[in-house]
Amino acid sequence: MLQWSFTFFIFALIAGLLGFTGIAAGAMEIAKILFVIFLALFLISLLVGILLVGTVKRP
Amino acid sequence: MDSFASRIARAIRLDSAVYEEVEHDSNALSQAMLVVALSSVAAGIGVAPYLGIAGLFWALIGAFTGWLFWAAVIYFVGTRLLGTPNTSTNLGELLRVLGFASAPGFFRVFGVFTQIQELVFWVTGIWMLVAMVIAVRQALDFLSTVRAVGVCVIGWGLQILIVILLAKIGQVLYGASYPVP
Repeated sequence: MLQWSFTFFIFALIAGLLGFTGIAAGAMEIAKILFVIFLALFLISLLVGILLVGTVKRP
Repeated sequence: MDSFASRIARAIRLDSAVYEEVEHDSNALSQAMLVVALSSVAAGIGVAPYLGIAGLFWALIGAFTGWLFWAAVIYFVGTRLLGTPNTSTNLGELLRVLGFASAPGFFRVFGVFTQIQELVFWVTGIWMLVAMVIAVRQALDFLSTVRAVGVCVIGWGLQILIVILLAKIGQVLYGASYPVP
């Protein structure tokens, strides 16, 4: 779950870069929507991974 | 990547064991560097509505120079001024633990929502400070958290002095318009 959380965070950062910095002017609105979706997925998976499961796997 | 993700989650949860773990893992420097980079990109996106791509650029530059500088300051204060007989560390260990201490900064990405930006930066700032104190305590093998707070406070004072000194030098070299904090 934490692995998914990390992946969603990376996707959110990429979408945020495209949506809020003006790099991809033509696709800003789509990138902003994707940013919000990935950010929500990041939060949900992180909460499930840390709070609900309660066991953060130690290597 | 699972181990990396797990370490980040534990660093965010302020689990002191993870700071002890990365202190002793000499291969974790690249992971710490990635945490610093991701945290600063998150901050850059958090201020993007106001600063655009320039905010991201300065967040990255500031994060990496701050990380290196802060590790050197903590090394000096923690080993020379407030060290204990148990204290045993090096710059690499400090870079690793301080890098992971910036993990709570991931949440600065929520600053992009301008209505809650100030709150986000305050909360994550305090969260990162607490993580830093725990990281310093573990890296310097202190038994007392108060001593770790002392190292951080003296470190901040030194850092502020050095920044002012550098700005004064800049003012002398580049003229009166050079900003002094």
